[in-house]
Amino acid sequence: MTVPSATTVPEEAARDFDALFQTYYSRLARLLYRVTGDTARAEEVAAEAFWRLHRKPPSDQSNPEGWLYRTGLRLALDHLKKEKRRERYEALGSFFGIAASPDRVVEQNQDRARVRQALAALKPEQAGLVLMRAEGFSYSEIATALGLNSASVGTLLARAEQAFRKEYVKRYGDR
Amino acid sequence: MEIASSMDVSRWVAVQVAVLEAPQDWEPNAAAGRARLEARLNSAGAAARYWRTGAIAATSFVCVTLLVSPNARVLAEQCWRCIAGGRTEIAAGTAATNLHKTAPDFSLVDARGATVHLSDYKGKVVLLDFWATWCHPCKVEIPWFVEFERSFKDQGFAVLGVSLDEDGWKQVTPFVERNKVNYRILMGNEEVAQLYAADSLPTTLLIDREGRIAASHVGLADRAAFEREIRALLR
Repeated sequence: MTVPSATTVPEEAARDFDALFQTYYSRLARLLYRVTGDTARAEEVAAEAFWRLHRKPPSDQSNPEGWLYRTGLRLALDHLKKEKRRERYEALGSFFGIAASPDRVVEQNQDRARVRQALAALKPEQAGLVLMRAEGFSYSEIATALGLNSASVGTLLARAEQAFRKEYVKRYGDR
Repeated sequence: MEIASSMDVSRWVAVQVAVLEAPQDWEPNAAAGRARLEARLNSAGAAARYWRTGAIAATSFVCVTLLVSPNARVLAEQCWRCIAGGRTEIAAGTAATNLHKTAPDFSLVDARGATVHLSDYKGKVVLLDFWATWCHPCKVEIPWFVEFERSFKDQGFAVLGVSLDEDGWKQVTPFVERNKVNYRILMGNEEVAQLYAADSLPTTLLIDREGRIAASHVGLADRAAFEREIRALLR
């Protein structure tokens, strides 16, 4: 698979990029929704990952879909961490009588927020393992996307799940 | 809930993460996404062509002029390598922000699209402010920083504001214009925020002329304290 660079867009490479977009955009956006919790944001982040792939393709172009998944997840998790920083600030603000913005109040679906925050605290690879498994990716798809040995996915996934549970229980107690 | 085995953990995780599933009736709009990407590629292509033409003309002039003299050839080659080389990525560094340690270098982009490294400011006293437009204490401090930039700029002082806004420049640019911010604003990312442990905003650091962290403030700080510290570092 050839990814066209911003400077040269050979016809064949452009066709490859289109095919890549058609094949992976929706699946990537659906995966990212699990992190963002917002359909528009998920699509925005998915498009951003494709933009970055086009603008600065990785030197190893053998697995562009894996690169897209990793980049998309990293962008979405970064965004989530920024949100967390903001939530902490707003929680403090409400303590001092500064009202949280109405859209934030509406968004406060506690269960989802808790799961997302626990995921955001994991290493990006572990969050990716848990999210991709939940989204129905097979072990071999996960291995390809995250650049892992497929024989190790089961073990790494089990460790990621343990880490998620530990993080969740530490924050919110055993439920 | 009693967890007996890794199978149970797996099931427990599956139940928790299931709440994040996308709505059944939502289908990502690939056509709209493709159109947006296309528009972005076209506008970036046009801008890149414009800047590239100007840069090539200027570079060629300088390099050809230098190449005329054999003694200047080495310099010309260095000049060419400098222009043709890629951007430096974020330097590996420690996440700890221990005082007196060297401030970790970073590479971020400013409002004009220029890549800025902290190391570009070596020799200056730098006030590095992690902020966001939604952060009230940040907005209290920003007019002070505007004033500091104005008062101390000529003595080798610079303010760098690193925005951690989720929505990027579309949120930040109007704010900067409205508040007449006179110092350089950079768009931050999680990597750089973690390098400086900027988990709460505002987080403000003072970096001395040798590039070491001389002071660090988390939350709304005291203007007089900032001023005292800056004056001491400029001495």
